[in-house]
Amino acid sequence: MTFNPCIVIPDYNHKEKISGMMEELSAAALPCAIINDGSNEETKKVLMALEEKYSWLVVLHHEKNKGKGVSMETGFNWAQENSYSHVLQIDADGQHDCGDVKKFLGISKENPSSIVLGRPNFDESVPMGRYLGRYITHFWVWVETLSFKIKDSMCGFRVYPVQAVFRLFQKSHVGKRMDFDTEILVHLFWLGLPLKTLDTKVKYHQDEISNFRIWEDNLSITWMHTKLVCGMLLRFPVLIYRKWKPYEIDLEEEHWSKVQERGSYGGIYITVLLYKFFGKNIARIIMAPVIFYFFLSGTVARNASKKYFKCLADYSPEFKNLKKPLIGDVLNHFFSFGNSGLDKFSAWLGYIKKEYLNWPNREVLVRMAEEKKGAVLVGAHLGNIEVIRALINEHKTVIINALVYIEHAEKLNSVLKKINPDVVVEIIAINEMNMATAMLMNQKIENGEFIAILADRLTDVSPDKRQAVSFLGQEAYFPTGPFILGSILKCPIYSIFCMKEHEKKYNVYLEKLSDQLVLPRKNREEALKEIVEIYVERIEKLCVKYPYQWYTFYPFWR
Amino acid sequence: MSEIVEEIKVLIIDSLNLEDVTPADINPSEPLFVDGLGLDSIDALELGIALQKKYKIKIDSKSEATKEHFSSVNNLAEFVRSFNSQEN
Repeated sequence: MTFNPCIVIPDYNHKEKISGMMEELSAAALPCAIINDGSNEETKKVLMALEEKYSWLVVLHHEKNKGKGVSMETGFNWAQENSYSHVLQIDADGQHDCGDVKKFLGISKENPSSIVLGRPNFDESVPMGRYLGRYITHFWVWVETLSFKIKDSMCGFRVYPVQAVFRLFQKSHVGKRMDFDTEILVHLFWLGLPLKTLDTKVKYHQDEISNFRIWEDNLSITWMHTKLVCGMLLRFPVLIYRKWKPYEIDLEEEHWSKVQERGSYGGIYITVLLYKFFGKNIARIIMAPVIFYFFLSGTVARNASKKYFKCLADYSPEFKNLKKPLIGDVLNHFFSFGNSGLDKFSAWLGYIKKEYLNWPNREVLVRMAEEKKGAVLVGAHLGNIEVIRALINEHKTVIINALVYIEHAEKLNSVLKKINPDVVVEIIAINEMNMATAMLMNQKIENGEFIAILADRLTDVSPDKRQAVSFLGQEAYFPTGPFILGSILKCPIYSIFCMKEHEKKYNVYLEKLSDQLVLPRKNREEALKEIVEIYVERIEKLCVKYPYQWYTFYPFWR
Repeated sequence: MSEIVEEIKVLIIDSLNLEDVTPADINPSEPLFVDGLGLDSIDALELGIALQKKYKIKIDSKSEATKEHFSSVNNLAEFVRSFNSQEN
C-alpha cells in the first residue's frame, strides 16, 4: 500500500481557530478538505477565504447541517475519489495540537494497516461534566470490545486507512452525529483492525462554541451504546476467540490492574464520587458484571486463583474440597477482590469507623507514636490494609507513610486528600532504594512516624533482593527489601494485616517481627530468610482463616 | 581534616560491626566498597544513615556524586567537611 495521506476537518460553525490551524498546517501543505457542515454565513465566508489562500485546501459544503458522521463520510468519499490512502481527522475547534500531525502520520506510515488514535492529555481547562462523560464512555467501549485496546474512543484526532473504512461502510451503519467517533472505532475494532495510540495535548477553549447538544446527543450516545453492547454479544464468540488465540498473543494487551494503576487518577476520583453518591449496594450491582467480565476474560487471573486454592488444599486438610476448585470458588475469590476495592473507597471516604476495627493491641502503635518511636510495618496483598485509616483519623499522632512502587504518587495523594482531607496517609513512591531514599526514611523514623510496605510481591526496584521460602507448601519468592530497610533503620519491624469479618468488623493483626533486625555480613541471607519465613507463616495462618482474602492474581509460585 | 578522617573510620567500624578491624587497618584513600574493605550495598545505606545521624548530612535523590563521596574515607571526610561548612 502506498502511503498517500490527506487531512479531513469536519466544521460546523467553528471559525475562530480554523485560520490559525490552517496557518500551522501550511508547513506540511498536505491535501486537506474542510467539510462545511451547513455552517452559518460568517463561518462559510472564513472557510471560502481560506480556500482562496491555500492551494492545497478544498472546502466541501453541505447545504444543511447533517452531523459529524455524515461530514466524515463526505470526507472519506473525497479521499477515495482522489486516491488518498489515509485520512487524518482533526477537529475544527482548535482543541487539538496541529503540531502533532506529523507524529500521527509518521506512526501511520510505519503501520499503514492500523488506525492511529489520539489519547488526550487534558489540561486544566476541561469541564468536569465532559470528563465524567468520557469516563463512562470508556467503560462501555471496554465492554463492547472486551478489550482495553481502545484507550480513548472519543478523541477526534486520528488517522484511518481509507480502504478499511469503506469495507466497514459496506457492512455496517455508523452514527451520523456525535456518536460517530466512538461507533466507527468499535466497528473497526470488531473488523480486527490493529490500533496504535498516541498521546496528544487537548485544550478546551472557553470561548469556543461546542456543538454537543446535551439532550439529543446524550440520547443518541446512549442508543449507540445499547446497539454496540448488543453487537458485542452477537460477536462474543469471535471476540473471545480472538483474545485467546494462542498464536497471536498481543503484547499490547494490558492487564487490567495495570490499566487501573496507570489510568488517570481523575478516573479514581470520579469513581469514588459515584460510589459516594450511589452508595455501596448500587456500587455492588454495577460492579457485578464488571467482575464477571474480568472473570471470563482473565485467564491468567483465573488460573492463579485455582492454583492458590490447590496449594491451600494441600496445605490444610480443612480445604480438601478445594483440591479441584469449582467455578464458584474462583468467582467468589474474584468478588471478594472486587468488594475489597469498594472497601478501599469506604476507607478513603472515612466510612469505616474506628469501632469497626477489632484491634486489641492498637495501643502498641499509639504508644510508639506518642513516644516518637517509629517502626516499619510490613503488610501484604491480603485483606485490606486501607481500613487502618480509621485509626489514624482518631489518633492524629499516628503518622503512616505508605511506600509504594507506583508512579505519580503525588497525584494519587492529592486525589485522596480531595476525597477526604481528614484522613491522611502520606504515599511515597520509590523507584530505587538509594542513599537519598534511605535517609528520607530515616528522617521519618526519627520523627516517630511509621513506614508501611507491602512485602509479598517482588518489584522492579530491587528484583535481586529476594528469598525463596515455602508458602502454603510450595516455594515462592518474597522480597527482602522491606526487611533490609527495617534493619538499616535500626527500628522495630511489625507485620500488620487487616482482615474482613463483615461490613462492620475488621480484625487487625499487629505483631512484632523483630525489635531490631541484625543482618550479620557473613550470613545476611540466612538472617533475612529467617524473618521472611516468620512473616510468611503469619500470612499462611490468615489464608487458612480467611481463604478468599488473598489478593494476588498472577502466577505466584516458582 | 585528619580528625574527621579518624572519626569516620571509627564510625564505619562501629556502625557496620566490623569485627577484627581497627582504625589503623583502614587506608583512607582505598576504595571502601567491593574491593578494599569489601562492603556491600546494604553497608553503604547503613553507613549513610550513620553519617546522617552524626553529621546531619543530606543527599539529593539523584546525585551522581553520591558514589564519588562514598568511594573512600578521604572523600567522605571531604564531603562531610564541605557540607558542614556550607551549612554554617
